[in-house]
Amino acid sequence: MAENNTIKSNDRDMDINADISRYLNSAPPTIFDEIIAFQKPGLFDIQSATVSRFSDYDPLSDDGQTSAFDVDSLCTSTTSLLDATVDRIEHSTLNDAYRDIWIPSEHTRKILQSIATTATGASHLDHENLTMPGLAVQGDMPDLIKNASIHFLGEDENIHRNVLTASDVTQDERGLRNLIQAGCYRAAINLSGRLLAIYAQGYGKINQPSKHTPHSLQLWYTRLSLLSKLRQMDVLENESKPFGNLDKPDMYFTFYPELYGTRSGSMGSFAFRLLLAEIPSYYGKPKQTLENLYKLLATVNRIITNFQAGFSGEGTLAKISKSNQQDAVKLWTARKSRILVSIVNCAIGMRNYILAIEILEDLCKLPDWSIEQIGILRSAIGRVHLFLGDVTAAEKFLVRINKEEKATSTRELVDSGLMAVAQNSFQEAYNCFQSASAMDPSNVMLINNMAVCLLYTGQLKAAVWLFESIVNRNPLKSLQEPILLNMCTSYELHTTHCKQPKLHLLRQLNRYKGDAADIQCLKLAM
Amino acid sequence: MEVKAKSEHLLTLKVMRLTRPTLASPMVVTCDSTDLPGNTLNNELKNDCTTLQGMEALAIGQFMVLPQSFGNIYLGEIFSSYLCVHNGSNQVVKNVIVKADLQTSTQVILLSSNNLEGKELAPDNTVDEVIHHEVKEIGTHILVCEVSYTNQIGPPLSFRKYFKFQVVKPLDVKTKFYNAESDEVYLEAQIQNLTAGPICLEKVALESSHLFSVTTLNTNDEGDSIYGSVNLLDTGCSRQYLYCLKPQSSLLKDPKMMQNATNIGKLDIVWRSNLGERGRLQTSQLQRMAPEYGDLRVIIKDIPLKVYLEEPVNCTCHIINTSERSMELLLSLESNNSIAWCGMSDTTIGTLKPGASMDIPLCFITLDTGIITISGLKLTDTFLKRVYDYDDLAQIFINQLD
Repeated sequence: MAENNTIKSNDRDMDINADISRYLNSAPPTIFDEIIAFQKPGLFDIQSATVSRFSDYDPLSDDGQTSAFDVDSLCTSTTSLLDATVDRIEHSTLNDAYRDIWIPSEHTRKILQSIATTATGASHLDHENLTMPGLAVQGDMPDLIKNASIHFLGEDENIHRNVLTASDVTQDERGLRNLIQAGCYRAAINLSGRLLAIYAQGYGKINQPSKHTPHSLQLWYTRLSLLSKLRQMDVLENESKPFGNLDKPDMYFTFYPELYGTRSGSMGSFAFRLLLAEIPSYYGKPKQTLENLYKLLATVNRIITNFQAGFSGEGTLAKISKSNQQDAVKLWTARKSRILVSIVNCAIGMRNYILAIEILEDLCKLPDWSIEQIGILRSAIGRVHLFLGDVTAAEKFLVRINKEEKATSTRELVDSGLMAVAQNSFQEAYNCFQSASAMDPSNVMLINNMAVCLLYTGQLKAAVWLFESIVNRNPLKSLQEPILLNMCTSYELHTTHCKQPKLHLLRQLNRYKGDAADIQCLKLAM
Repeated sequence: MEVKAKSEHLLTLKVMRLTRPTLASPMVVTCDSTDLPGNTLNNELKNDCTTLQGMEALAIGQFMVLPQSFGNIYLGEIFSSYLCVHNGSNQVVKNVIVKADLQTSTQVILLSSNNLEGKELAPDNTVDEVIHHEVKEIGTHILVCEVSYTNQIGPPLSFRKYFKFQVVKPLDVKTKFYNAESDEVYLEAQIQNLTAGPICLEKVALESSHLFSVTTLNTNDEGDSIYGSVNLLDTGCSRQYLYCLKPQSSLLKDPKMMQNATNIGKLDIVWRSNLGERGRLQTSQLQRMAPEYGDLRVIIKDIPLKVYLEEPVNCTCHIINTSERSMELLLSLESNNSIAWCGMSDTTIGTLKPGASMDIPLCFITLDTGIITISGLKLTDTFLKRVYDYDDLAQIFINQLD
């Protein structure tokens, strides 16, 4: 074990204050700031910065996600793009070779070829041809919910904190999965750090050669996924950079003939490759991400063409059975759709709605969708039109052709509700979300939207009551950051004495949730 | 922000600007079942309240988030705000009056006056109001909220709060006029998006004065917008709109009235942004510069569409007397390198009364290919001995005979 992975409880305690204040004081100034020293109109200029601010709230992304592990809803969830992809892979008898296929860049291909054909192997390679990752942070990430609870509610509250830490689980991938499942992302990141240290890829090891295995790359994939979920931008940027686009020679099985013989393909999984392509957009470089995604798309298109022509995915002559060939094409076509979805997500993040709509329309044309999925895609196009404000175009996608017909799904009702919001008819929107909620009572999004509509129609108290009722009814499912953000915004509007209800939410987070939630959404002042 | 009440008032006032809600979307990270996290990340995504059910990988939200900052406010938008007066004390107060004014540099606008005189407000109860106002001025605005009430004993109490914001210009509109020979007027309007994000120009219409009828030239033959399938104008970008105004027939008959028809109309612009947030602007009356014709106006009409080299071209010369006096006219024609006139030069064409016009048939032979200018026409007013030269009457394109 590396030095940095032992838990230093003293250090952690010392970190508490610094850590919390970092999260709390950075809360953006709210719209409730008022001009305190107002005397006469002549003072305008001095006060000009008080109220009018550029929105620093990105309308299309929220500040990370909390987990909401709920066994019941897992069983009832419908099939999705997610499932479709997963199922296709699982149910196919494809062997790893088809799954791991990747076409290296020309430079990498030449190096791999020389390794396969010469006796010296990889020992002579320069550092620039090696992947040399390492942790960018020393020590463990603190549990901010626990720290904030102790700070605001006292040490006694800590007895109610009953969440897993990195030391409470088996020190392996099963332990990692348990932590993720429990919503303890920070603990999982800490455990991933300990496990990576075994591969000599711990803190301070960036730019030092180390050995890779499919397992070590899976650890990295898991770690970077969670860092993305927690929006730890700096760490994410520093730890993802050494991987580049996963195309250094040592990322291919061919690099290790002594271990994998003649096996070809990529050692990192496709999901890892996709994540690495997306990561720059999380730290403010969406153009880089678009470029990465289009590169992936080009390679995937080549792989599909190769399989369709009866070659191996890399384009070499190979014997492939008809059924394997079909499965491989299916798998890679699903991956292609997944890349297109990522392009849409990135385009929306950079408010390039024209690109987003274009790709969504292309996606609609793919043959494999169910009627339900086509419906979802069409309403997605409608919603993008709403984002950019084109109500007329959105109407074409969101409003049912036959208005006499009653809306049959919650999705259609949500669409109608969002249309009503765009038309500034919050009462009508409320009715739509309410009808939808009657069909799907456990859906917290619908109740949240009802509460927001209530606030816009001047019924703040009813909105607060509705928010509190869902949290009381199902705290596990309702204590998610966007809901908490809306609740705290409502509390602040309601009264100056909003600290108590906020602390009550903190108490519930402390009792029910893992360590993933960002307590910034509670807008607590120190 | 938690600010301890400086005064000992029983009531507190909170104000929040209501822009359209934003839609939150999840942080999408998915994996295959063969990856280390197994299905844990996918399951978590499904349970995320911001996820699009059925297509979880798509980060397109439906979860509404309340506005988190004041944001920008633009001229022509609706300023909406929630006013909440809360009785945070443990005693009943009476006669609550909430008054909201908006002060601009030129006026004070009453937005709301909520009078609960004679009524009681129990502890922890609120007086709620949502106000709306279309902002029609640029610059500093101050929302002044005054709350007055009486407690159990003593005289009425009151306090005020001030909220200041800047209204800025959302669009830049530049217009250009072209007076065509045919008496049609073309208006080119260049609209630039000065807001911080992309907008959708829902309506850009020219509402013409009654003297003209308008045709919008912003769609193709199929009726589709020429700006592409997605109606979006990015921040900082501009778009040109083109309109053709045809004068009413009564106007065409009277050159004087035509000359005076300088009022073109107004541009009416409606745009929308995030989730349908709407704004509307109308320009002031647009004025064109009426073309100055002098004493005579000469137009070449009926030029054939296709003209070949060294072939005779027939056209009509339309002459209007735009002066205040009668004129006795002499027509002279002078050939040059590109055209040779056919017919008589220095002919008297007769008397033209003020406002009257006449058509003279003309013929010429083209001597050069490409774009040539019809020139060399001269009119002389024999009475005053005044000479009018026309060296740039029209341009035509001459084809090589193949």
